[in-house]
Amino acid sequence: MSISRQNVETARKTGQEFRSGAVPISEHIEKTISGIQKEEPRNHCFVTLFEEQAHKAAIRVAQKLRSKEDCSLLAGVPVGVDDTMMTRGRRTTCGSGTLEHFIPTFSATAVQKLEDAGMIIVGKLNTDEFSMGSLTQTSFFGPTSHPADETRVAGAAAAAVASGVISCALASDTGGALRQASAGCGVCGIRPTYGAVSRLGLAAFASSMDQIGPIASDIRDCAEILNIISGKDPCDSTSVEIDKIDLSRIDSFSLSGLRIGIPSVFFESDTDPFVKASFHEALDALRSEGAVTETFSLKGLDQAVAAYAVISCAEASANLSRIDGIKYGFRAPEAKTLSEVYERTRSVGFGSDAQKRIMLGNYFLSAERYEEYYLRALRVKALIAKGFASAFRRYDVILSPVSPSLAPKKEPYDTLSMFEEDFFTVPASLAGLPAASVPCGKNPDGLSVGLQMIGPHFSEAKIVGAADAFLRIGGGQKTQGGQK
Amino acid sequence: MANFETVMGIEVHVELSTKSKIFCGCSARFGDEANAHVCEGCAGMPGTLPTLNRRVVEYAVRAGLALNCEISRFSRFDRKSYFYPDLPASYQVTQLYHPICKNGHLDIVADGKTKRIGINRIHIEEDAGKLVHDDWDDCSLVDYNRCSVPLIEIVSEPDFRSADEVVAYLEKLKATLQYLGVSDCKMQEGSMRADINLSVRPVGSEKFGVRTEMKNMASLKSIARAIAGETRRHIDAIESGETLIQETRRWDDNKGFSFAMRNKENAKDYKYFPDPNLMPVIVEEEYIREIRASLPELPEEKKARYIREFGLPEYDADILTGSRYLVAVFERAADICKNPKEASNWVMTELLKLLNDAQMQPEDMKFSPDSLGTILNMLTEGKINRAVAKKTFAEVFESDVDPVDYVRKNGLMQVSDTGSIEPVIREVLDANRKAVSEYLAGNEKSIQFLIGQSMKALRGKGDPQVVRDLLIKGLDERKG
Repeated sequence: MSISRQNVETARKTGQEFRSGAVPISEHIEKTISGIQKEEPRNHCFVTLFEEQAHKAAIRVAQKLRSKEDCSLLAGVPVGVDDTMMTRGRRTTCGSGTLEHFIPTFSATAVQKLEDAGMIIVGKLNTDEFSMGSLTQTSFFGPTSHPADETRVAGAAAAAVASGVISCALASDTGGALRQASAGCGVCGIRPTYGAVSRLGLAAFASSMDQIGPIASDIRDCAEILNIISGKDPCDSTSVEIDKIDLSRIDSFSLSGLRIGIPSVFFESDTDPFVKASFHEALDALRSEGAVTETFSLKGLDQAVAAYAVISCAEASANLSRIDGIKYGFRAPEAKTLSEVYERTRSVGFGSDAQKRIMLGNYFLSAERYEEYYLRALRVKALIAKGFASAFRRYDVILSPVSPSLAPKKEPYDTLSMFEEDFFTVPASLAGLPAASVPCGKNPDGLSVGLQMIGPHFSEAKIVGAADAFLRIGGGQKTQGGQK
Repeated sequence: MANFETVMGIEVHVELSTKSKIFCGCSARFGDEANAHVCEGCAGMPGTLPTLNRRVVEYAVRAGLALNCEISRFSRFDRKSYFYPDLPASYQVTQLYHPICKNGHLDIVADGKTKRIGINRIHIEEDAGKLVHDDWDDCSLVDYNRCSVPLIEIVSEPDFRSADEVVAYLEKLKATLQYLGVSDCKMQEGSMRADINLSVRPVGSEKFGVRTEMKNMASLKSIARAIAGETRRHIDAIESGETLIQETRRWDDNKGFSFAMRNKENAKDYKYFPDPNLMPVIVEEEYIREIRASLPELPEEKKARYIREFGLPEYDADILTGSRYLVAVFERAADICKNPKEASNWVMTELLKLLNDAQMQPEDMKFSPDSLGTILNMLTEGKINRAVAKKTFAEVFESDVDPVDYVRKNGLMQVSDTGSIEPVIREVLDANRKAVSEYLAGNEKSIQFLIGQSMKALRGKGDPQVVRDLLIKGLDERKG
């Protein structure tokens, strides 16, 4: 089954209907939750539904709207949140058996900002264990089904938006999860500049690359949500203030003269023919609107996946060592001694992929290997960041496919080949750059592919403008079955 | 033994006396109920992030400047990973690769000689919590109050050759840090902890012997004992041809011997790497200048000034300036009574005696800083006599009474008017005829007994000079 795009209302439109009084918030929330419940057995997008809390919030927000309190344009709009983000007093599992029953005592800053803006969190979305993956394959709760093909996997936030049960969601992106999930389900997603959104309350996977961003069926909704959640947080030293995106100026964004760069290795890679074809068609469409495309060489990209694997595993190994069975979460009941508590808890509690990455991370950071792996990976990272910086003196945006392949089947996967799927997305992660994924094609089976638009630091407004213009010319709407 | 020399370096951990912890807003106070000062951050909850307490950087820079270090314009935090229940995040945030201070020194006096001890580095790190073993329930509980309390670790060069030098260094370091106000340096409470790296080599050898690290010494005395014990163990091993291994050992002060910590401890690979959650610390020249300008007068300068301005003996000046808490009492008293020598004498004799009797450190004193000066003024003005002054000071030391109130309430004002004393003298002379006749027979020492009796009758309040004069007068009258 798939819901056609026309049926999906934008979050902004829903918000408008609440403000005008055309639709009561409570009724909409009730409908949303029953919609989710109906689809859930097939989709498996949600880990936890906040039915009761959402109803209470609906009443509170409706009251606020009636009394004309200062509310955002999205007040009352239901939203899903990745289960790696803390929700105070409400279960947050991080997709892990170790935190199956964990209830945090504080909310992530991004979550808090959504709620302060009057948005209503209806539930927590399935996620890879501590974000280690992209398409929920490593989740303790099992994978989410692709909206178009139940035998395939999907990122839960994107799948929930694509199936129409919610219009928008927050997801996290370390090596590209948010972008790949969006691409796979044919929706929009933005990974913001590193630091643009506070990481406080996001369970850390690889702290130097983790970012929270929006997913929605509409790129302008993404921008609206980004405006709500972005900004300096005194509790996150790596966060920064960024300019809000002025949505009123998006209509006037012109593709004519837009300078587009494409790293040449992106053409040489082992990419699915349909993904390749869609990417070329997207470039054709952009050129026909007056955009100028050029290929260039970006040093270090061929080593990006390796560098990402080293850095992310290294950081994850330290970040996840707090999951030790001592303070909270799962503790192996049979453990007798302290070392048994650590060993049993962690080898039973963590899934196999998490364990592999932790082992790798420990290896990369060990005294004898530190230079050979970790420091080398940092040099590659610096090289790539430098390459992007000089490329952005010549180009406004850098384009690529999002994922080299279509949504995979629900089959056993292996960690190393999962890293290869990140080929197009990790460079922006390593360089801390903002990148959007917008739909650019759907095959006859309903499997979508995305176009990645990477911009310089803090160029979210430009990326949104270009993405919106691309969607306006129909770039993402066509089904390319007959053209293959 | 004479053929060997001991070579030592010291790592000193000092808890900074900031109000809050290093990466969160929790109080850093010592001694409160277990887990009274814990938040999600210092309990290692998922999703938490550290934010650096700027005061910690300031204190570390203060310490660095006072210890003649170069201050790094760029320093950064690293994670040190290991599993232990007192470490909630399972990594400690420290500075391995880029410490805040480097290449300093501290001059010490030991065995009558001045020696310069090199300081390799000072870095900032967070403390861990504390395990409490509950024997009753046969379990271990953890108290996170101390988690993330800021520390600086001061790492010396291997410049020490004797326990005396080590003790002199630690005393000087403690005094200096206390002067700076960056730490209270209480070894008993663990806010100052020293690990000793020790090796032994034949005199004249340039090569270092195998080094062991000793932990768990709770006082300067136990450090001196540990050095003696460990040196003996090394020499015994060398002489009997045993192989020493580089390891960390735990000093058992009761048994007088060090024990190797479990091998696991020694085989640790801490997997250090830069903490991505914290920005590098960039220190501007201007900031360093400001802190340098705000440094207080340090022990050495103060000691020289006491000798020069107040004419104090070097020994006294040395003891006084050895603790900022003694300095505080002395300077306040000298200021109030305008007699630095008298104030110094009182600190050197009375106060040190009181501290010694109570087994207390100067930092544990609780009385109001003005009290000693007030007592000395009453003494100079003749309001109380010396015996009452001592008694009052003991009372002040014990329970921080107001000295003027105390003297008044207990009727201890000195009696010096002859009208009140004369009748008492008469009674004493009448009641002690034996002593009177001995005196009159030429045994002048008997007058001491009579003075004592008179003072007793006056309940200690008599002006000793007046009592003596009146006694002599009365005795002369009885010469007949």
